[in-house]
Amino acid sequence: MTSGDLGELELFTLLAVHHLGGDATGLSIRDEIRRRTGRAVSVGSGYATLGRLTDKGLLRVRIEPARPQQGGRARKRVQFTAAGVRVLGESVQSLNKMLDGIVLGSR
Amino acid sequence: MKPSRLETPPSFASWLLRAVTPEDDRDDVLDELTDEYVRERLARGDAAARSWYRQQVLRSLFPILLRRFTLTSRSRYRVSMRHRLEAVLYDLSYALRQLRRMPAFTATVVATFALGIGMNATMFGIVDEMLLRPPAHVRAPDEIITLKAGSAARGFRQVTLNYPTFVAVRDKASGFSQVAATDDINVPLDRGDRATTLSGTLVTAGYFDLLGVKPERGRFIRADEDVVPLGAAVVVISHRFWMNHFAGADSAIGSKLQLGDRVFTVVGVAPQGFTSLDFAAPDVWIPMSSAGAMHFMGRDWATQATGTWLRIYARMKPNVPPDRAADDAMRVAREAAPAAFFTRPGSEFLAQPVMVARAEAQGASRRVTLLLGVMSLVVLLIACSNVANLLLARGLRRQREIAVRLALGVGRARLIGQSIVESVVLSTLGGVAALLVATWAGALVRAAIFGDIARPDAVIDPRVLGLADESPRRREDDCVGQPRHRRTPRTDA
Repeated sequence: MTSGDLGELELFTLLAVHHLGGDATGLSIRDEIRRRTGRAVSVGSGYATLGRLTDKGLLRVRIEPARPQQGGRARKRVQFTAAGVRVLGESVQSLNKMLDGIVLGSR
Repeated sequence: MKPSRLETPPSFASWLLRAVTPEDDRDDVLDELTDEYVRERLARGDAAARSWYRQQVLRSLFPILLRRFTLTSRSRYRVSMRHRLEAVLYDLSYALRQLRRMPAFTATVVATFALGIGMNATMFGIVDEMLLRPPAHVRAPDEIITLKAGSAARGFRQVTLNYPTFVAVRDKASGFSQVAATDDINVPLDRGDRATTLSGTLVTAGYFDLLGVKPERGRFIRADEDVVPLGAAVVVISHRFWMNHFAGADSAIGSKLQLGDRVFTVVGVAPQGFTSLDFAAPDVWIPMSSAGAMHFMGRDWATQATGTWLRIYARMKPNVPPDRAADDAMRVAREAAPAAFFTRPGSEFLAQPVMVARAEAQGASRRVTLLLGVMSLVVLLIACSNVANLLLARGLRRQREIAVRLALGVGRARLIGQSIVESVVLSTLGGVAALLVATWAGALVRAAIFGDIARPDAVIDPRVLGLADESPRRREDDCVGQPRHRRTPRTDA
């Protein structure tokens, strides 16, 4: 798996998980993307993207037990794998190199 | 207190999302969307939240379906070959146990199939050999024609012509690459107390070359041995005569045979199963010019141009239309035999493929053969319906068992798969038994019909058995599953 295999939404998702630290859920990831980019990701797209990243071994899902309260239910927490951290680093590095020297509106 | 309609997400959209989302993630996706719906509702009100929810579901359908498709494809791959094999082995063992538990049923079905398929294959084998298969050992039989005389209006009924016509067609007609003539005769063998009669065929020198037959022993007749007025006293014997008269000894080549008024030398043995172009199956082939007094037409057989007694066969040249070749043959025949009735104005030649002529020559026996073939098919259909009835009855008896299996959680697909395995086992057993019946019965029937001129090859070839076996197998596959799943009981049955 290389950073070049990542799609835009996958990259955003990895960055959102990174921003959220160890407390990422499907909803919080989509909220984070919307807050930072203004892009409203549907629940289906978010779910499918998380599924793909898990399949690629970049993220893993940990099931958190239900909290002892009314309506409390088990939740899935999303965490990085070692490969995920490495690939995200490579992607950001590549992106920075590409952005280096670009002054928007200069052309 | 029951929540109002507006407090819950739109039910159809919710149901749709639940329906498309893979089971493992269904609750997470729906919970996540419900959490968001609650948040939207608090922020923007019920109507806006409901509209937002519907849009979310609509936008989510494609990515979720795509994901579902990916997961399904992958999970199919994950089922290893070992697991599949285990499932098939289990079904196989279950099917065998089921069949062992009902020995009378199994024996009846297998016996029905054995007789139905076996006799059908046998009869079709006979039809095939008499009507469909080309004569044994003949190279490219579809290129060989026989010349018949007559007219399109009255039919081409004149199958025999004469020697001057043969010579003219052989030497002057342009549409044929090889031409030969034959005449079937009775040949007296030996004299005195040992005298018997053989069936023989007078052939012109190029006959065996035209057919492309290779001798089993020795050689065939050379051109310099078939010369008018009297050819060499050489004879080619059949494989059957070689076995019966010479016990298959190599010393047969060079032996002397008293045939009619001359002593002939055996120069070759024809291959086993070679019967000329029809089922005449002669014992000996003698050069046309060597028959001496055995000629039906007497001393002037080679020059007599009005009578008819020999058949002419020819191999077509490539890309020559048979009609044109026949017209050209008639042109040269009129020069050679102007007084013959078959060269009169209005008469034509027909270059008829030998396979067609062979089938026509069967006459009544062809009709009987076809009728037997049809009857054997009817018998096969009756056998099929008997088996279908038996399977239907068994299926009804097994309803309780099916209900229990369904209650235990066995899927319908698995039950159908089980039925198919049982069908395959049953039909395979029937097919094997049918093969034995076809082999034994085929040998007996062929011996009765063809005697010792039967071909040396297999009694039942895959082509014949395939035709006989295909229809009942399909029928049985259709029937076996039907009764059991005709009315599959519910799990609460």
